[in-house]
Amino acid sequence: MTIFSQYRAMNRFGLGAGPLDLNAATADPKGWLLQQLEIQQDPGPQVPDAATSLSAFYEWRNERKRLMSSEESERRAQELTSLQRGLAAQEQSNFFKRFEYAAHTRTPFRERLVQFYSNHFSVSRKGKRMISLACVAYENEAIRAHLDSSFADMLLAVMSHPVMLFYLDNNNSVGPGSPAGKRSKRGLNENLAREIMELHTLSVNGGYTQQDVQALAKMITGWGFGGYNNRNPAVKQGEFFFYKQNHEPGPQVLLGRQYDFQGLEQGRAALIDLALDPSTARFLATKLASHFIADTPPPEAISILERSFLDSRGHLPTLHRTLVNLEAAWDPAHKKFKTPNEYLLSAVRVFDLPFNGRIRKLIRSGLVNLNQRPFFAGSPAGWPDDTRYWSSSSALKKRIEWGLATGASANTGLHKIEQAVAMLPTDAGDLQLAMKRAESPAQAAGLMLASPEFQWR
Amino acid sequence: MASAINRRQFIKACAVLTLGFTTPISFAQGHRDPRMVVLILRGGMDGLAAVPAYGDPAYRSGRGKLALGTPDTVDGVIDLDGFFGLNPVFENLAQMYAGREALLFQAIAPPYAKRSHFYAQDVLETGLTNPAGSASGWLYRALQGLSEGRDPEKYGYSLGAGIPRIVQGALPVGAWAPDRLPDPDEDTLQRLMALYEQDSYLGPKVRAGFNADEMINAMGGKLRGGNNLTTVAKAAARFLTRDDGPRVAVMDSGGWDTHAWQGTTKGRLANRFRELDTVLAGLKQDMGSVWDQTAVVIITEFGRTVAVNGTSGTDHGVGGAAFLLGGAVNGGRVHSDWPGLAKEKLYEGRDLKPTLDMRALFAGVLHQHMGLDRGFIEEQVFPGYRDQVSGLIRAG
Repeated sequence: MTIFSQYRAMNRFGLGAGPLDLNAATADPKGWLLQQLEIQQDPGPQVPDAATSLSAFYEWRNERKRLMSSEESERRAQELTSLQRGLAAQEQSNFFKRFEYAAHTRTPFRERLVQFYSNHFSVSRKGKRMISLACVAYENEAIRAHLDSSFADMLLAVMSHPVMLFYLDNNNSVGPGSPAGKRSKRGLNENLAREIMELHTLSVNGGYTQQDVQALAKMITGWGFGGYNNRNPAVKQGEFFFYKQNHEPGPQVLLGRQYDFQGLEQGRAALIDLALDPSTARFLATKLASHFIADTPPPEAISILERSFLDSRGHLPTLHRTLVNLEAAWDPAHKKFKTPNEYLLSAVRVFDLPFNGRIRKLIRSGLVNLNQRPFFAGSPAGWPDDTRYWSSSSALKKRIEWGLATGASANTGLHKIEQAVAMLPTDAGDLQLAMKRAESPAQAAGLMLASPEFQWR
Repeated sequence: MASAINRRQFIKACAVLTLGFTTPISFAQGHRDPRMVVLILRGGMDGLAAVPAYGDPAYRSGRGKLALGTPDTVDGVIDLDGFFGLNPVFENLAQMYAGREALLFQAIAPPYAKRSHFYAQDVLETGLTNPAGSASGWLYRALQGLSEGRDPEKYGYSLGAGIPRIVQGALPVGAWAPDRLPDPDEDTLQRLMALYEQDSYLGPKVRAGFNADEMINAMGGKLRGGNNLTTVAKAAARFLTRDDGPRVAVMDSGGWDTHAWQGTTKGRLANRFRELDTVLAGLKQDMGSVWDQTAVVIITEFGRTVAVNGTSGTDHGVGGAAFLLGGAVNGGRVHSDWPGLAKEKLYEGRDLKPTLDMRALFAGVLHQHMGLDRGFIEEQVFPGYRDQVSGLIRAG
């Protein structure tokens, strides 16, 4: 039986206790977490990079156009169907690689942080099919690659990434006073600028106005990428490019500060200032505390994180070390309800389930039925991170059905059940007893996955 | 000063005491058994695309290429009252309007004007101008009064994945969402339920989840279908038409944030309108005779900019449109204190100015349709807010 701090390190900070963590985590739970914050060989799931993925999508779209304009026939219908399936299969393959990487990682705390920031800078393929092949690459390139750096670096990487620029429409935003704006009727799109301030940095009460939104929107006009109709040899398809002719000229005033820089530097300077703003520190501290402690975290914990952010100028590893050392994060009185994705990951980890066809099918149906398909959040705010949102009656019923079905078809075998029972904390006596009294290993595994204990972290 | 506060506290205490002894339902339940459906369109549905003010002199110039044609033109609006029109995609809604079952609102908004989706939705759903952290939803609070004598969890249902904040509160409401997972066997389920008895937070919810499933499967077998508005609306009708079923249902629909290439009578937004229109026709049909006692409230967090943006879409705005439909509704008209689309009439020079607080619509439906006591509404549901739109519901 594990002691509480080991259980919490593996579940709260990690992605769910399992045989992969057990030896490392039990010796020194806190040390195990801190050591994951040292720079790691952490390439992420092996998927094609974003530029390649976007180009692949364009090719797919060309092929589809070609078929659509050809004569209607049964053969054409078949080809269209298989084209459609091909795209879906490629998407799925990327998502499974991502899931499998997280399910098998030896640095699960690090992976949880990647997923936390990936949700903070959420992109969704819902209604935005063009980015569907590139979402996992976006997470690798904009989030994972900057986990050992500063929040400002991550923010800059995100906002100059084609996937985000497309997702929040900035690639089409044109400064009204720019050469391109004067020539054509295209104009400003303030979507990305607004969400940067509201969701990514200052937060909704962070003290900005509609004028600030427009100023930031103007400062990042021209931030785009080589798109579908790209004919400029200097621009690489699917890669960031600063379109000078779309950029609004002249100085801008944001939050009372004037930005005289020219071109790309203007937006960069504004983003760096936003990343370091006290409102941003407060907002990120609150989100981290809510994710790692409780839906309503103790105010002292938020203040400590905020201080750490400000003192280190948003140095992420420093902030994350502060997080591990927060007393409140280890307080048994606090719990967090697992999101569906966390729940599924922890289920695979606890029995170290083989990644075969049957398990893949279960994972896919679990994410669909529990309403957390990868990169499919309904809004740019990403997935909610609170108990009330995820624990409705119908959602719980579905978790139970999924847990029992997965337990039944997982072929776990007796020793894995015993191992899992041993990983439960001392206060989970009822569940341990129920598992020992189960009529089969399959029922025992199902009971564990469907149990109330297993829904919390 | 001190005495004023004491007096207010005294009145409040009296109100609470009164509530303890009498039901907040203000009319006898004899022949009426009202149903209420709330549908939230998330993302900011473009009210001017749904209910265009084609008669406003500034409509055509203000809307530019997103302006719809006059009623006499191909793909032109369906005329409603000589000033407002309906996007022609709404074929079924137009029929309901003609049958006086649809009341449309223009220039309406929750009490918030700063164009953030999430904040606006929080205001819309909590019914509070300052929707701090853990405030409950207004429909949740209304359910506490409406369900008098019944378990609130059985009286109000959230349909679809996730529980919208509008029905979130300290206690759970009923919930159902479509799924394609296998049903568990009885023995395992019993063993499991014994474990859930120990979890005071999750236990009651799990029980409610399995009860709802039994209820819906008892009517025409397991309801299959994806997690979309069509399936969820079918479920709403199944629940609401049961004698022992809930009387209030809430559901939501996403994908209304049309920043780019939204189109007019064809395209992205028109497709969303068509889906909504079909769902509404299906709901009316599935509700059968109960439709006469039904009011469906369709709302969104804000309208969108009057002008087209740089990408043939519209950005976040303020004033928008809302629909109230159903056999119980006193419809066939557009309710609007129209502020006008001329540039100088717009909010901050860009958005339709809201002239009606959405809470007045909600309060009106809760009181006039559901029979919830006005005092309860003003004290508990929308604390300190006293307005309501009158004449929403058909007499008799």
